[in-house]
Amino acid sequence: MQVSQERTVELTRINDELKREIAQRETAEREALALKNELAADLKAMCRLHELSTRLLVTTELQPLFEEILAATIELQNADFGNIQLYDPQEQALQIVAQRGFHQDFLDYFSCVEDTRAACGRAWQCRERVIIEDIEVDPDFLPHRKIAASAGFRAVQSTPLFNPKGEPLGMISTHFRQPHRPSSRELRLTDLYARKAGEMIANKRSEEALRRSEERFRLLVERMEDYAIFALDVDGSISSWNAGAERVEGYRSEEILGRHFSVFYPAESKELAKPETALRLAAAQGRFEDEGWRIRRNGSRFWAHTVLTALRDEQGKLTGFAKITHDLTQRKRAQDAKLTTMGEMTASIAHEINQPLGTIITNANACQRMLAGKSPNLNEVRLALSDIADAGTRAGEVISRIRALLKKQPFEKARIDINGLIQEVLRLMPRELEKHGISLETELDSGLPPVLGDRIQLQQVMLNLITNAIEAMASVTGYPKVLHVRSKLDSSGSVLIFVQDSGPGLDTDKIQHIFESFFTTKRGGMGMGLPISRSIVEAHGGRLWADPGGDRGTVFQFTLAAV
Amino acid sequence: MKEEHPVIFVVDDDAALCAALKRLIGTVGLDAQTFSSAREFLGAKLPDAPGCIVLDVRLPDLSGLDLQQRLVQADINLPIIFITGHADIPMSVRAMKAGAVEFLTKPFNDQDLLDAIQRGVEQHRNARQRYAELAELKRRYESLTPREQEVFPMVAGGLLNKQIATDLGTSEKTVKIHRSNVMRKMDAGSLAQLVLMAEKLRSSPEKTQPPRTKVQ
Repeated sequence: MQVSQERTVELTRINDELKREIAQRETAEREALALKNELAADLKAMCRLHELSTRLLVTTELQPLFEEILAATIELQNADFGNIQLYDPQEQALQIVAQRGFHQDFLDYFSCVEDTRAACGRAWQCRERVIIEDIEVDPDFLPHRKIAASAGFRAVQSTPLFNPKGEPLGMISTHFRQPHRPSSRELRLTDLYARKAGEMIANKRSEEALRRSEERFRLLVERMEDYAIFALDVDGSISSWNAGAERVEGYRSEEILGRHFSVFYPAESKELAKPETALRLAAAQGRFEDEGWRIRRNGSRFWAHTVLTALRDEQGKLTGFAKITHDLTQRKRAQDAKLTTMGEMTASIAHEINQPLGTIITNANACQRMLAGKSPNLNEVRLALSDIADAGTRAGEVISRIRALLKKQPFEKARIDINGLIQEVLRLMPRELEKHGISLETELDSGLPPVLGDRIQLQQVMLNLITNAIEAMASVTGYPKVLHVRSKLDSSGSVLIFVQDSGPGLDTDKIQHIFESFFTTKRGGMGMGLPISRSIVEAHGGRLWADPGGDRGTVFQFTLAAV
Repeated sequence: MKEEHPVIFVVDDDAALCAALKRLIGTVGLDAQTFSSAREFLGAKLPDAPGCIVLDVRLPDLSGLDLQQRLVQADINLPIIFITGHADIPMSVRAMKAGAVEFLTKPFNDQDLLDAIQRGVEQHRNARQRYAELAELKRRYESLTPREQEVFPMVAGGLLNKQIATDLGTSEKTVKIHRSNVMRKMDAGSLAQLVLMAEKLRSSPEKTQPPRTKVQ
């Protein structure tokens, strides 16, 4: 009896063990299956992401991109609804750009989210994912419970989208009918999707910006009709042409492309090898500026200002040149036009006065004749005299009108407070100075007498000197960049203005040449500014010169006669 | 010819000047009508009298020179005296070449204007007379029979009756009758006069010209 009892206990024990083992094995199998399923799902999600990326590379529109990513994310998380928002910097709010499953009320309500209490608002503020497992329970979500209820969701997660630089672009949110928290695996994959989305959005945007900028530039070049802008090969053959070039030089692109740019030069310049020299100097110095005669297609000459710039690739190899030719006859024509207008104005004034004068004289003569007759019609004489008086008054009005008109014209020479003018110009500079890290030191003598001059031209001189100074210091490193502007009365009673920079300075043998029109230095040249500034100052009866500045840099000085 | 009182037309947009000109023109016994624009003038019914136009070159609607063209096209041969506030040489040359009587710049000498007006009126009077004569000649010519119209240029061409008869294939006697009818109807006192008449008719721009013959 006892043996069978022991055996039963033993059997039961073995049975239980077996059951346990089977149970364990079943659990393990279940877990393995679950893991397998998980991995399969992961793989599927990764494949989908990959496929999405590939497809999105060829999309030119952002909208399908949003739709795809949203669909993939909703599917991944098994969500019921979802939306993608983008941040609009002008509205300073998140705006829904793609959504699935929501009705219009919800969209209107959340179309522009500034509120930081909703999930997306919170996530945006913290720049981190926000999960609200149950909106009924979350205290901050209170104001939105009603709309969430009508939309039909109880849980929501919002994941921010960042561009590769880490700047936030928007949000992707998913919503669930039941309280829910996505698994860490789902969130991990969502992050992948979000990162991808951020990348794609950033790429598309910069592509778009580039395209717009290129288009603007193309239009600018196309439309600059006074400037011939074209490109040359390394040997000087013309490789591109613009509308301005056609207008200035007279050739259409099909008849000029491939030809050598020396066709624009007159015979005497070609003899002196000017075109070749220009290319050589441009290649050597980066830039070559010149003024001279050019010949149009129809053989007519025009005085041109040209700038030839060497173009190089990343390795520094010369790939060609860019040439800008400015037809200066336009400027001259404008000046002539100004004179013609003056002439016309004078003629018009003369006409305005001649009208009433004619009436006066004719009436007076008529009166004389009438009175010389046998029985003059005195009434008619009276009427004539009245007309004379009226015409005289009219003439007087014309003259007052002209006087008033003349007052409005700016006088060429005016009394100018030079310190005020300097400060006016400096007020335009702060951003530029800041950008280059240049500090400004001014010493403007307060007791300066006014000078006599053209305000606009003197402003031009100041602007020119200051921008040269800024440019000179652009590449300075290792010591402070200082722009020094001073004004004082010199020993002869003239007003003296200094503009000094702390740049590398100029060699003493070069310093005088900078006022010549085609001198250029490696830094990109000072252009036409200095020769023009000098002629302006000289027209005002002053002098403009340059010296090496103390320790470093260059100091420009000019004098103006005090009134 | 009936004595017609000349009428001077003044076209200028300066009303005060128009009044003054009217007054001035009145001092030499002439009538003046004033208009402030070319269209106003063209729209007006012009009296059948000698006259001329005193016209400002710069009118608001039509330029004076264009008006001159229009008048020529409309066969209105009123002489034009241009006045202008602008001393524009090319314009004055154009105006004179187009047949203006005078081109004066304001303020002008009153005598110069009145002299020009007199010249213009005289010119127009002569033109009217010539025109009237021509009209009369034409009327007379129209009154000729077709045969007489054939004979006319031949007689004026100096052909003998015999030759005419041969050319026309008729008898000399018939030609003599035609000849005498032509002289009578054209009211020519002599052959010489008839020749002059023929010439006048020939040089008229109208279509009713005597046809050229193979003799000429």
